[in-house]
Amino acid sequence: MCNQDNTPLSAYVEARIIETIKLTDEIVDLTLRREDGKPFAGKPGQFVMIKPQGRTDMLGRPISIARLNSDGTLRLLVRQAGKISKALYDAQCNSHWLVFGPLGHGFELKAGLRTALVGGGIGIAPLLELAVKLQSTGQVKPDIFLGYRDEPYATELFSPLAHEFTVMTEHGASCKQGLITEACNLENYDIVYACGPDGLLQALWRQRPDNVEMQLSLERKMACGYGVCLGCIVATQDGGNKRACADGPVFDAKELVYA
Amino acid sequence: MLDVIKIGDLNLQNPIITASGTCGFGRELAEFYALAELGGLSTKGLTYSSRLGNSGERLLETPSGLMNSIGLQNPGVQAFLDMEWPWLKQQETEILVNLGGGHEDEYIAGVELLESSSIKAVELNISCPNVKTGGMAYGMTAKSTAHIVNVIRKRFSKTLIVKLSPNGEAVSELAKAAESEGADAISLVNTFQALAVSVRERKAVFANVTAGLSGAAIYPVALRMVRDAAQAVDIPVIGGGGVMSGEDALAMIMVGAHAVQLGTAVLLDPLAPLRIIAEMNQYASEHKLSSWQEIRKII
Repeated sequence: MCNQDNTPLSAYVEARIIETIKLTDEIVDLTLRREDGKPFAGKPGQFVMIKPQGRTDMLGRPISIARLNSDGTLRLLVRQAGKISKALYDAQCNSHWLVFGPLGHGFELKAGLRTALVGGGIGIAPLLELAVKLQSTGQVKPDIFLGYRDEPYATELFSPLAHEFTVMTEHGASCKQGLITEACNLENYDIVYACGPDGLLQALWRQRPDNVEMQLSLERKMACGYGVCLGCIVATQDGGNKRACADGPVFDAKELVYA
Repeated sequence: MLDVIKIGDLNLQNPIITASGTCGFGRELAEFYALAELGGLSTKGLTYSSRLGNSGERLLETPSGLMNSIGLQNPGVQAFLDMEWPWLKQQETEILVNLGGGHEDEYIAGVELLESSSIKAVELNISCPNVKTGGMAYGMTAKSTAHIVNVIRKRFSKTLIVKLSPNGEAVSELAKAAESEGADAISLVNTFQALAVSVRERKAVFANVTAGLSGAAIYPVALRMVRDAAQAVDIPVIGGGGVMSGEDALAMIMVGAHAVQLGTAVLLDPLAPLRIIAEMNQYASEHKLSSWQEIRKII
């Protein structure tokens, strides 16, 4: 199987990890460079599929784009959840990976609005690129709310991008305890962008005032990542469903249904 | 240039067909390359009425395999004909319209709509393991396979390909039953009925308890079954099941397949069909093949 990786007939490109920083005992901050010298591309809220080089028989894992750096490298924040994400956590600098993307529909950036970003756990990742792009293209400095189960991480990446910056933890000791959804008064905003576990998104969805636009990025298991397998569906208001990978992962809250 | 492969009224430019459920109705793959690159494409499994598919977990990766429980999510035959077919028929590849059903009446209603449309071929799915009344019951025995093929053949005058289950009686018997009732070709395998348990939660991973296993893990078993079927019938056999490389696909032809379906390989990489076609062509060129016939059914 390995020699097949030499063929250019693949949607995956080869990439090398050039920096790895373990933020906690389960979260890693990775930077990857494409081996072909081309820059990684994408928009805030889009994701890539990633897997170890040589594993053409293995599915990629969907990971949100955390940053597209000006030098063309790609930054990912990854939480250990299974074997591949553990391999990413343990990955050494210069290890080789296969990356497919950017995939999906990301956040729709809107300027001139009172804006909040709400992230939960590893769901903070796509909000980083979003905060950077809101500032650089829309001159928007949003209020940023980050919620963690345990000790916070990566907060120093967000604080310079925030107007008001709020960090909360459910069980941790180093900041205010509580749920981040309780810290964010949705009425104060015209638009709220959020990413995190279903519980957090569901709470925001339930509390959403009619006049507040809400763009929610959902996490789902995926096989293909590009819309054909129908493995990552999300229930929608019309009684049907949509694909998190190709129709999302960012959805307007008005489209979604939480039972 | 190698010979065109004839399966009923279909003329495949190369032996590679993307399998039902791994290529939607073609639009996603067409973002990557012209569908004319493919020998053919088998649509997402359709039923007469639309289906939302299964709730709960739909996917689980296993060592070199993938379990799925999608549950025939589809827009229904009429919506396909209205919304997808006008675009799909313009693509320069052969289209197999995959048709499933819960019970006989549903199959009949579906195939009657397709008979009166401009589609050229139906791939009759009597082998989906993921819906409770889901067609697989028809594919479990030679007797029930013969019955449903007979019912459909009477109502469908165009190319009829019957997709067999690997979960029932010996595929050689199922294949003979389909052939004797007038199928133009058979395809196999669909996914293998399999089971996963979450020990942590002390329950089955999938709401339906079982799910279908595909991917490289099933390839050697699928290859044996394709050979069994090809030895048993004279109509063309479309082989598939865990094909990941040109070599895998060539072996399918060597055991008797006319064409080869790619399933999980397409999910793993949308460009896999092009890589596999290139690998097959390279072999053909190196071995100076002028026809796939030269290596077909040699094992």
